[in-house]
Amino acid sequence: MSKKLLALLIANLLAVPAFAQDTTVGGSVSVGGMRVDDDDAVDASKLNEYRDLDSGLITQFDLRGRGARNWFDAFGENLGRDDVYATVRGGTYDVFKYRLFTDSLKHNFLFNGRTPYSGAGSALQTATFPRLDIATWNGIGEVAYKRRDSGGFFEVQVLNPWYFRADANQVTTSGSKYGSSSQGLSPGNGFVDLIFPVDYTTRNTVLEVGYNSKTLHGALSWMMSKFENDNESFNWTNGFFDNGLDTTYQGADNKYTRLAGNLTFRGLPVRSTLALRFTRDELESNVPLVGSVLHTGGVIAPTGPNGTTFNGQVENTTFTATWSAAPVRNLDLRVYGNSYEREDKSTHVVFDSAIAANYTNEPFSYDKKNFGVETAFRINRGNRLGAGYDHLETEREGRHDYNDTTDKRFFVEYKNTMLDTLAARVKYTRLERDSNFLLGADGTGSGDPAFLNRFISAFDLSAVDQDQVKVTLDYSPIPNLDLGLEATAKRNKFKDNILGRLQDEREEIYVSASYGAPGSVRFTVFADSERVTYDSRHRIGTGTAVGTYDPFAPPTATVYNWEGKVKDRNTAYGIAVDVPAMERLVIKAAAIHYKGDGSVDLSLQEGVPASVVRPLSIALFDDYERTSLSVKAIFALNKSWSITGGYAYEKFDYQDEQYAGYRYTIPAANRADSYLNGYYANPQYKANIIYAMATYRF
Amino acid sequence: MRIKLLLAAAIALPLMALPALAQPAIPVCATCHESAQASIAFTHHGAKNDADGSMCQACHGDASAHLKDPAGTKPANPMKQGAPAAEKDAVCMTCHAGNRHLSFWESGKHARNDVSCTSCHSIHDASKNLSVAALTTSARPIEADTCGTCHKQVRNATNKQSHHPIIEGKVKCSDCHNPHGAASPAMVKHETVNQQCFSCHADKRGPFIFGHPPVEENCLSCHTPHGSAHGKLLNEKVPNLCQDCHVTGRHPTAFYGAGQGWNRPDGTPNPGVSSRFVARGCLNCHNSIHGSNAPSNRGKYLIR
Repeated sequence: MSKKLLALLIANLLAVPAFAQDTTVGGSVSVGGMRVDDDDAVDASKLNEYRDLDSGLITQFDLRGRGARNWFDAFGENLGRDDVYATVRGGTYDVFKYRLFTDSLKHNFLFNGRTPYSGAGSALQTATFPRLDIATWNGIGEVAYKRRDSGGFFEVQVLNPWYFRADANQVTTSGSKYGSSSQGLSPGNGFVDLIFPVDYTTRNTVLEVGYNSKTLHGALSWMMSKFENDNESFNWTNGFFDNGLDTTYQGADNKYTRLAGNLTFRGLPVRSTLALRFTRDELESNVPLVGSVLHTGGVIAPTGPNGTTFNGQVENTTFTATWSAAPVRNLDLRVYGNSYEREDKSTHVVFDSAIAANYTNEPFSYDKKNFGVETAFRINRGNRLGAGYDHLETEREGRHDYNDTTDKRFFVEYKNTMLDTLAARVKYTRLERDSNFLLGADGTGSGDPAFLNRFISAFDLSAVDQDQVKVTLDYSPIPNLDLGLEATAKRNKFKDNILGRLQDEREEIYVSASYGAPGSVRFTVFADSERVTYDSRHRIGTGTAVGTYDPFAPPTATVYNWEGKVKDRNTAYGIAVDVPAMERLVIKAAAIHYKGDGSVDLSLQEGVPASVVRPLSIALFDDYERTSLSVKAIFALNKSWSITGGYAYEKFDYQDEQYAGYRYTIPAANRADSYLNGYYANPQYKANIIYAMATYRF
Repeated sequence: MRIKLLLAAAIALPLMALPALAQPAIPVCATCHESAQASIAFTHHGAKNDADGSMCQACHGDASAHLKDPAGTKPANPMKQGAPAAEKDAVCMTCHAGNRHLSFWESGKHARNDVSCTSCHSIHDASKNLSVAALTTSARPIEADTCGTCHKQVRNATNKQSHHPIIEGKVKCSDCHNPHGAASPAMVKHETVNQQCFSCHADKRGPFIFGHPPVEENCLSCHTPHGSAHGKLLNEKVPNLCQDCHVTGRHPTAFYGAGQGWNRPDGTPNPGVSSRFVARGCLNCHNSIHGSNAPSNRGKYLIR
């Protein structure tokens, strides 16, 4: 990749002087510093999740050149920091254009964690268990990976209307991320938090040739994306299995190739456009079938695979056709059809041994056929009525619970723009999904565990009635002032579900106001409110007694239904202001407050004996508040020089029953202790940030 | 090393052009509309302009009569405020119809919902939208500030505690969506949601020996793309999300409530802490939820 990039750079460096004769260049260079105080935070990874907020130097440059024939832009920021970004692009109008870039990001997960393991984040993580005294553990400085995306494109336009384009980029991701694993095969055997090694490289190349005129677009492209993982697996000590070395497997090397073509015909009869697109892709990943695993007592036991290699191969073929037309005055029409076919040709694998009999994989394929029509009729200049229907048929192979589903979606919509200052839209959408459930006759009777399958419906495919109403208003009562409102109510009712998710509801309202007269104060302010609920029903019970697996059977002390209602409430408000305080002074400020409030109500089926301990509802479930304030002043010393000074404050509070009273160990009998590393134990932070920059413009 | 070379080249490339400066033609329109000319001077529109203001007239209409009688005659100006979106777009398409990104413009939702080019592109004022967000270390315009003026639900989501780095300027709306039109649902760039997600998350692509069919069909069964109150952009918190499907046998059927954390609700230590409830719930053990290449039951149950 570096050779390709260098070749492009050198080619362009040579080309610049030749076309720079009529170029006007302008831009700016900024240098400054930032000081961050987050000392109170035990784990400041959340503050730094995607930002490099280390105290230190901050830089930025922005160069632009324009000529009658040629142009270039160069921009860079945060040089030398974890979130560095730099790009240069340019070209000769109607001849060629190019872009080179590098964009880095550090994703921080955990600061100041601890682990009983040596070699955390490496391919070999060892410890001797039991090790419940955390004073003997090792510190983890940070769990984070750095992602760097570097690449560019070159497009030849001189043969207009033909063009040729080549895109290439390389994404390297290195560092670590958090994860965990069970120790034995039952949750009663405990689990361990692990630091997964991350060392990925993805190389993408796209070649495209096309023809573009005002009435005809055509393009053919070929893409290849190769993913390489230097740690397809890693080893760690498993205390439950007598301190033997266990193995966790990560995503393996894979190769994705795609051929895509599209054609668009404009200016067809009845003012119509026909757009066609076809893709065919293939994904491959070959991995060895592992013949043994660490097992009880630390022994290495055979797994009995039916071969030596898993040849993973999935092919997708898609076809899309869309016809957009205005057959009569004031009527817009769109008719479309889509086909998506996924064929999983991967090896059928069976693991069959004394420790685990007959574990098979289920290659997953589907065939989706979709068509629809949308119309919009302009009753007059200020009133538009729209309606549409979408039909989706899906056939699946490789799922044990559902094969075929049919989705029918209708919508009607009304938009009013009779007043120049007001635009209002109301849209109602209904989705009806019918599903072919395959387990409706499972089990021989209500005492057979398989009988329960009759009532279990995975919400992603179960039959559902969905209703959604959305209202939007945009109002400009006076020039430069825009008021906006968006409100949505949505309900999914899983009509055939007895167990699993029964219903979910969503209510949202967002309001905003923006004012921006040229040369004066500008502001944007918003307030949001969301409420989401999920209702579900479940059943506890084991054994073979009649009724055990029938959710309609009367409850007993050991067999009964329970229900959960998950609630998420989110509120947010914020404001941003730009104030030209003086001729040479501009002040920009923004403040935002976000609050998330989650809870779960748990209840037992009516009639459950009083001897059964009632579940305790969860009051704190991802409850958080984040307050952010940012103020900066930009003072122009003269036409060339300006100074920027800024201050930012952020505070994040988090409360959750899953983490309350966090401890690094969960002691248990028979070596089934669990060991944690502190991920999300202390995500709260408070930070004060000051920064200053000097900018030279030319 | 590669980055340093790139940076050096990125800086050197434009600097080499510095010695050869020349003033471009000033369009006659700038005599009165000075600020309008200044605002496009460093854009492609400005660079292609000439003394007659051909680029000005390309958008605002024939100005020959206006030049003779500036006060009495105005150009037709199809870009004027309040003009129908289709009329504005037709002006832009006069030059840009051949743009490869606009192949599916008529098929896209924006064109069909009266979203005009100028709804998003501000030709004469680059800083149209204010950013209501926490401090970002990027000075580049945040694309979501533009998209969020209409897509308010998305604007809200990007500020939730779990989000793609959109407000930080590291992921753009146009990384996943083609705002200029696409035949796909939500105008995503790839043919399906999963292919879109896998274009970055290549480690989740598989194919794995043991898959998780809902994952293989639609990432959005469990995740929401723009932001969530729950970690990992999950629609619902674990264990409840998992339990909405996994009601069958053994531990998935049990309820996990506040009495099973490290502390009891009254704050006292709980000797009966459940490893299925605390920390990441089900994911404490079933870490390979997107698929596994582990053998036997380790892979089947997505635990290694």
